[in-house]
Amino acid sequence: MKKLVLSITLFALSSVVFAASDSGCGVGTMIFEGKEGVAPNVLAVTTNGTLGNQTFAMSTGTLGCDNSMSNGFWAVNQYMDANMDKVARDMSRGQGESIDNLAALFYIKEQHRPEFFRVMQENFALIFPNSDVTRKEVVDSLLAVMESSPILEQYAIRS
Amino acid sequence: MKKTLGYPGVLYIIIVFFYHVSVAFAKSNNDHNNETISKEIMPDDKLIIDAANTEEWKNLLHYHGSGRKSEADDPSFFLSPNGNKDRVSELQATLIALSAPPLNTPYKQLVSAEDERSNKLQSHAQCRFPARFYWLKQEFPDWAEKVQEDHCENFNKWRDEVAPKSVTVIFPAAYMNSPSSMFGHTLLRIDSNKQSDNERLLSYTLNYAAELTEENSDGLKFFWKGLFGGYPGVISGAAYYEKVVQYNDMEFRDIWEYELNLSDQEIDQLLRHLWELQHIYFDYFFFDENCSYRILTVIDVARPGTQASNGFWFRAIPADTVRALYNKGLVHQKKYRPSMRSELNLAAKQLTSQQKQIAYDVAYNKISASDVLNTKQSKKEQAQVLDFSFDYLRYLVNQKRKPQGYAQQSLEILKQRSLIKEMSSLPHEQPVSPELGHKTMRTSLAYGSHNSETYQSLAFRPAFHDHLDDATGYVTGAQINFFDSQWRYYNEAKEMQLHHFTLVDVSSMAPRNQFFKPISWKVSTGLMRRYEIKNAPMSYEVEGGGGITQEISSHIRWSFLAVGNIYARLNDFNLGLGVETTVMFNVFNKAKLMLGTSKWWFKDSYVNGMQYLVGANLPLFSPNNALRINLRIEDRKIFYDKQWQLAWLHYF
Repeated sequence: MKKLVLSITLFALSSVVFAASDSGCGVGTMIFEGKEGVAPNVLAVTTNGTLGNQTFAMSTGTLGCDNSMSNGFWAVNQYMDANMDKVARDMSRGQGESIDNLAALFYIKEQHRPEFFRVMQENFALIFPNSDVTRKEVVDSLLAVMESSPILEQYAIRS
Repeated sequence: MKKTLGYPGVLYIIIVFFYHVSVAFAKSNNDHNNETISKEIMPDDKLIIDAANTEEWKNLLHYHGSGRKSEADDPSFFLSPNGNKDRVSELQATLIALSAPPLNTPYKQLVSAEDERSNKLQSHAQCRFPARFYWLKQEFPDWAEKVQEDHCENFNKWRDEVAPKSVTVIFPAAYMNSPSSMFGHTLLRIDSNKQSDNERLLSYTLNYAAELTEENSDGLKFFWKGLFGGYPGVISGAAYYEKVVQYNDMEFRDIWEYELNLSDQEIDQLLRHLWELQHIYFDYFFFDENCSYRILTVIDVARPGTQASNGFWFRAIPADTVRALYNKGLVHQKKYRPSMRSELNLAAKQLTSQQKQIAYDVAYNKISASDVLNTKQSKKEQAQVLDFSFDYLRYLVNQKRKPQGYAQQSLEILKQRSLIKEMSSLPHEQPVSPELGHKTMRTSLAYGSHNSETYQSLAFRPAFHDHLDDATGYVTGAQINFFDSQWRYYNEAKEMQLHHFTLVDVSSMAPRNQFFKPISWKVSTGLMRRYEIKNAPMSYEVEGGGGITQEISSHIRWSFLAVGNIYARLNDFNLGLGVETTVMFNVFNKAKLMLGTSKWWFKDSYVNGMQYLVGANLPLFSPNNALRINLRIEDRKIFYDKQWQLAWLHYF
């Protein structure tokens, strides 16, 4: 009974504004690529639902939809798909959680991290040359910059 | 990935096929083994019955509440045909299946949900139910000695990859723009010993949620089905950074992280049980068997005796489940992860107005980023301005309010920032976490006067929070009321009367400032008395409206809304429009004072006129008690009505 009554009232409510935030492809890159991503069902994100057939293991997720791999680990590519703007931001500042986690994906040891942050900040314009840059290009440039550093070279593994 | 129509149908056939194959296989195995698993190795029937009646076994099978039936709605969770209703037969069937000779299937790379499902159904019971196996080995050590163990390569590899160190309950705060997110959400994060503390973005999260398809997920359907358990709920995995982007950056929700103090052994058992729940469907009920409830039931398996899920039999509000975690001594520490918007608000408090203006102009491309480097500020201050400017621009883009040339401008800001080597991070301020706010049920005792006739009243509200309640731990400007009712006893007339019964009353009055421009809105419906007719009969009303709320200072807000109202009684109905203006004062961050005025025009005009509201709330000693004063004056064409009351509110 409670549920019937409540559902009637919520029926009246369901025309209420639903936030239409996009859970689209490369949403992390929106600030650079300037194009809308393909959007999986938006409601799934905002209503605590999941779209069917999600894996139990850590999946490719709803956010990255470019499955072609550039050089570099698959995990790095997936991470960059979701976080490119935050990585760019942290790189420009020479610090931040997003590049700390990126360094972890390259298995960079703690003592070499300051060098990683410094080199990335110095070469920011090389890694992010313009606002149309794609994730593939960014990861390639990143690896090239790492290879040019004697300390970071060992971590620049191309899979 | 887009799903095509008919895909679920094919999937269903595959699952059913594999289920029957494995059941047939298990059965033939059983029939053979029933001879070999003689009474010598199986425990006594009496011991089996005792074990089946323990809390541990009930928790493993998800028999909660009355304990007569499992909450799992998926037949593949049970090894006995009536395992979902008969704990003893399930225990017997489990022991038999666990005792079967090992299969030692080699490790198989699983890339999709169907892979995972079919792999599970084909594996040995020890690998499908490792938590049950672990517990039964403790219960029946003699039996355990005689059982050969399967290598369970897929399970072990998964467990080794996860390499768990600690378990954290992740709580994205309430989100007003989506009805099913209004109370917040909780999910689990498993932190690995391969990562350090600041590498948690890479952690593995498991989230229980209603599984939607393209066809069944539109707003209305989601409601109906969500309330009645029409969706299967299932656990899915994802990297934590995906959740952070979803909740912090796209929905602008703060996240609270509650790290639990589970021991290594308890974490292992938790992981085994989560593996057992892989692709197992539990009907998702929005109010009670929801995400937060599910997490508590899983923690109950990890630490027997906790019974954290007790007491949540008809509703499980996420903040209440966090309180339960604290009450059961499960929390080690909590961390705050501000949303994109909160971060900006925190930074804005620490910048000067000049810095904020420059940052705003840079974001809107009125000043170029390189000009910031030419100002007289210190390098550190310049860095702060550029940081704020980029963060604000990113916020605008995520809000879909994209200024002209935003892509190039954002890159330009970062380029300039990279030329400054100084650190620029501002100290973080942590607000009060949700579980420390007032509790979610409320009752009140009041004394009042209605047109000079005095009354006493008793009111009850099962959930959740209104504009005058102390907002500590709650989302700013959010009001969510369900089933609020008040009964009055009038002293002169010696009569008891239901004053109102609000079915639902929801509104969001988030304040606007220089940087943030949310829209205010409200919707409500229920039974209330209207005073234009003698004896004020009850009418059923629906009201809704929108407008803005402006921040005047950090303690004063002013709202202006246009509202529509329809009400009906047995013999008539009326509809009208009104304009409402309200000022809200926050006094010393404790008390609240609200002054409201509205003017109404109705189709049947005798109800036209003004309404005046005054409300004041003062918390007493703790967030769970308060004093409230209300005054309401109706100055309408054909009637004048005045009431005030003084109430003691208690939250529990």
